[in-house]
Amino acid sequence: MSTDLPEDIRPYELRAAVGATRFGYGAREGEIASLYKDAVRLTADQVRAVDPLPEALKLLPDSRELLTDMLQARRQGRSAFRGYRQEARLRAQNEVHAHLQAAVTSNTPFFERLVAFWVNHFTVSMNKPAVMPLVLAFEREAIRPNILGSYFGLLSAVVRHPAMLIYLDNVRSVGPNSPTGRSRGRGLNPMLARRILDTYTYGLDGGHTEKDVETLSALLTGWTVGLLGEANQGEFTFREEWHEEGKKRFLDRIIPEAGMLEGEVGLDMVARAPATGRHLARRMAQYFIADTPPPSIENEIFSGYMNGGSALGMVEGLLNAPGVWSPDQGKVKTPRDLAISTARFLGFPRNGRDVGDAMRQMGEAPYQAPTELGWPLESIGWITGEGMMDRLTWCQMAAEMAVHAAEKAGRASTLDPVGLALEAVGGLLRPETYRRMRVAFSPAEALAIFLASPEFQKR
Amino acid sequence: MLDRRAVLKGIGLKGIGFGLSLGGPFVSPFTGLSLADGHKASHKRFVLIALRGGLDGLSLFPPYADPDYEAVRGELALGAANTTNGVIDLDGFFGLHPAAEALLKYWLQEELVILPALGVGTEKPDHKIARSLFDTGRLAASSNDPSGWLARTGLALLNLDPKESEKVLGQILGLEEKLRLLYEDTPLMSRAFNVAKTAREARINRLLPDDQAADQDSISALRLPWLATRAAEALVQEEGPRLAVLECGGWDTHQDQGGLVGYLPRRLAALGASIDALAEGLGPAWADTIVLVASEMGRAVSPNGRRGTDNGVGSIGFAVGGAVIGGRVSGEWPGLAPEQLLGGASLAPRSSFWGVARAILQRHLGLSAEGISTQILPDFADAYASAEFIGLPD
Repeated sequence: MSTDLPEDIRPYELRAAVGATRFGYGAREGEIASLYKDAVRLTADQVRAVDPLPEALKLLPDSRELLTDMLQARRQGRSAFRGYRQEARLRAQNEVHAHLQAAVTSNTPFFERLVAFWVNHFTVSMNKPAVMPLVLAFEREAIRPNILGSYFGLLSAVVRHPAMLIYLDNVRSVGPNSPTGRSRGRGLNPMLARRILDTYTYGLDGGHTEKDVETLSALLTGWTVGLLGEANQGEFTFREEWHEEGKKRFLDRIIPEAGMLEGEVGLDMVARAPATGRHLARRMAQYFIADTPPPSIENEIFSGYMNGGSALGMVEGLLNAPGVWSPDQGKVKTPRDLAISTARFLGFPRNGRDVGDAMRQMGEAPYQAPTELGWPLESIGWITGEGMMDRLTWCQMAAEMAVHAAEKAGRASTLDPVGLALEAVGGLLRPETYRRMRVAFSPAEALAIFLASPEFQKR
Repeated sequence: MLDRRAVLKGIGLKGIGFGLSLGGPFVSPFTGLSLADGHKASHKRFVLIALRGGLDGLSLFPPYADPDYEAVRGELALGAANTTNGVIDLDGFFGLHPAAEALLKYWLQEELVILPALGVGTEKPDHKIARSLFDTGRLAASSNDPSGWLARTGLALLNLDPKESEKVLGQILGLEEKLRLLYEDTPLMSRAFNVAKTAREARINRLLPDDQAADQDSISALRLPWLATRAAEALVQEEGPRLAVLECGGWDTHQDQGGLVGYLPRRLAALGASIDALAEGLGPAWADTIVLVASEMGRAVSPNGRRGTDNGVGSIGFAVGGAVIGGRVSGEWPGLAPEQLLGGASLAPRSSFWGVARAILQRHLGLSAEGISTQILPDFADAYASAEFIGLPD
């Protein structure tokens, strides 16, 4: 029990536990011990020289293939297209499970948490049928390879991706003063531009205006997807004839007419803006540390960002910010966090599909955020109201199923709930929880108490 | 007269679902039952999933293309198939709630039949009366027989006395009180826990006495995947039981049931996961299995003033399993226009639950029609559902 450890060892052990729980996805057996000597550096290592795409995900199809299939299926009759959509849903379910499985088994859980942060930041939800087959490919192609470079690189890859262009309707946005705009009476659809300014960069209080949204939308006209038979079928393409003509005034700059480059310039301007750095720093601090993070932590992340508008710099700032290695757990786990962290130490949920089921039963259907704003960063909502009872019922069931699996496999006699709890949270295990686990009537009860404990429900 | 549970004890059943396999070495205590000749009924499994309280079937299988759907469902209406936040399309008329998306593969594998307007024979949506009828298969007027219709077929029943099932399933008694103490020193958790408990109590207190009784003795629907896992483990065994009943509560959604997300969708997700648990656990035996999912009653089609639905008569159920010829809707759809509703409020039943039950007992389990009519469902001798209706080969 950690309270028996010598005083000079405890801080390191706690930091290792924090590394695994706050920055990781919850510790597996031996994980806290492996971080013990230098948790800060070893956590940071998880984002250096990491392969952004886990092996198992490399086999999944690319978005060009998926989108071409969808474009072809759309040409068929109604009932054939229905059949396509149903099959596409099954394939998407398999991709969801593969991605969740990758998080459960990952050796670089801090990288996986960063991926999840950016995926929610740039939400593209399966709830929109036109984009449903592409959602996981979007994560693999636009997000994973780009979260450790410049923010402009990440933002650019995201905005160009067909999934985003379809999800936020840029494929319907035509400059009113463009050849197509004039001949067909088409106009701007500012959804993507609004999301870029309100969420991806400046934030709602970033100081931009409605006119800026409209101008950014004009800068991005023509950014769309190639149709069947075209040279860029199923991929990003720039449609000159949709692009709004004339020079534009965006924020405080005049951008001369330059076709597709205008959008690049616009994205570059907002990606590097200090207002963006502050907004992103708050979001990252909210995601990892606390619903209302202290300014000192935001400032450190912001400083990291200002190193050339760097997403990697933000991560370094986060890990070096004051107080982030403290054992005080400021966040409630989301259903995703809870299901994956349970899987990692307990072996139940057994796999990605079980994790997805657990998430749905606790109200967070994976990759199906109800709106383009994504799931809320404030995590207190996950234990508000009667939903908390359902969450605790799931925890109880997970404990029972894990014990039952051990019994079936003949391992019941070696089941050690306290030992498992220490592997999961190390020195964060509270004496109160430890005592109650020791006097529990059964291993299942002891595990249920641990899963419901504050130190496991929070991170 | 035999009490359901006494019957189980009397034939020496213990633990979950251990019982008789048709054609096995145990003698049925009931005379008059016979197997259809040459019918290998001993491989056939039947699982009844009883969703206590009245499933809101229009949430699970929204008939999004019905012209009255949107108007009738009001704030509970889900988006049409192929729209944002819409349902998953099944056949161009009915959809599937995304929370239960696990069921899609059974639909595509033609292993799921939707039964869109079932009735058990009640006229009023009263929980006590409907549940008694659903469990016993006896109309109150004609008998004092409290035995269950499945018990009457002499087969294994998972519907044990709740205290027994808690012991057997290892449910942790008194856990909530232990958690309350566990959270005492953590203000965030103890506040959230108290708020949750208060919300639950407030919701229950607003219910009428009959509705409060609906969930009595029932396990939370969120534990259904666990029940299903254990049931499958028993059913798959060569010498194991061939029948199981899984029952759970929490379906009587009078308030704040949720639309796309929320209280009911979380339970629909658990229902989907429990079918997966059965299919996975049964393995090759899934091909010989029928799972019938139903409630003793339905719900009003329109929301009440509390973002929930009141009790109703007609209900929507489904049958799923390798032995089902599915991928379709079976039975007449009564419609949602005011003049098509029963009492102007709930779905009008068009198919008899007892006809479906008879079809399963006869065509799937191989019992004789006369035996069923005299020994098991004497009050529903006329209820008929063809083999094709339930999706079984003739």
